[in-house]
Amino acid sequence: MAHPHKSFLDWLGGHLLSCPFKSQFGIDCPGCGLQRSVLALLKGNLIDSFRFYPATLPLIFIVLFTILHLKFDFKFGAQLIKIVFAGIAVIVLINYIYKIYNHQLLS
Amino acid sequence: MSEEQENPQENKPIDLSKNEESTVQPINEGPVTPPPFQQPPPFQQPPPFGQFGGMGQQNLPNSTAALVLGILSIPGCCCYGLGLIFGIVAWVLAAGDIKKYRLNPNLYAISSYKNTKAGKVCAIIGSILSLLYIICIILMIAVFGWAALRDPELMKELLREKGLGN
Repeated sequence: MAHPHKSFLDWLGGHLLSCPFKSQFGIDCPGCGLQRSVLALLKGNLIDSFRFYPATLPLIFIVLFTILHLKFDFKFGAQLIKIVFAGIAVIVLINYIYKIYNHQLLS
Repeated sequence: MSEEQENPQENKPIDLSKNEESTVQPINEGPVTPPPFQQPPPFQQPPPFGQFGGMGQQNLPNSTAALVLGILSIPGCCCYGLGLIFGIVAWVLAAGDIKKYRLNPNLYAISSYKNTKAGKVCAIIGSILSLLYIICIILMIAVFGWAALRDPELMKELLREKGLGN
């Protein structure tokens, strides 16, 4: 059972959508690494996932939470979504600035 | 107890008593009086349930769409500025809904109003990020020129000169 699953993930790894920004300019965009990160997460590799793109976990959390919130209507839901979303935006920005300062744009 | 005695005027027990009275006084219009009392009950019935049980108020029409699009605007900001479109659409939808709510606050559920506001905040943040991304592209074009854009290798060389690449 595990084998076809793994091969599917490998196939997915070979067929990631290429970032238009990167294919044009040759450098990473603020969203680069998201797909690799999700793939690492699917393989169960949490640390790699965080290294590729730190905002993946909060993003997945906010998507799932939004679905639950729309279904069950939590009292604090809207507030939490706003806070987490602002956090994600800050993480994305910090991640990109960090990449620029550490010359990882051409990876 | 006194309330119970007052309220049932709209219900059947008092009708029975009135019927008894009408039997005592056959000339009175006993059977005619109940119909006006039977009209109020529709007001006492709880209004139709919304999706979020018990609120009894309808949701704003675009609250869900605004929230979802607002959240999608961050993941979308890396794909040809798709996030900017998502963000602006969500922003407009949310602004329209907020206006609707302000015109008629009692008609809509407050939870959907909160959702809409959250959607608006998310849309604004997502739009700003996407805008930064697009400004970044324009700056690149301005600094490096079109020739470098056509040629990734040349671009890398230029970047190394500027000290951005390794």
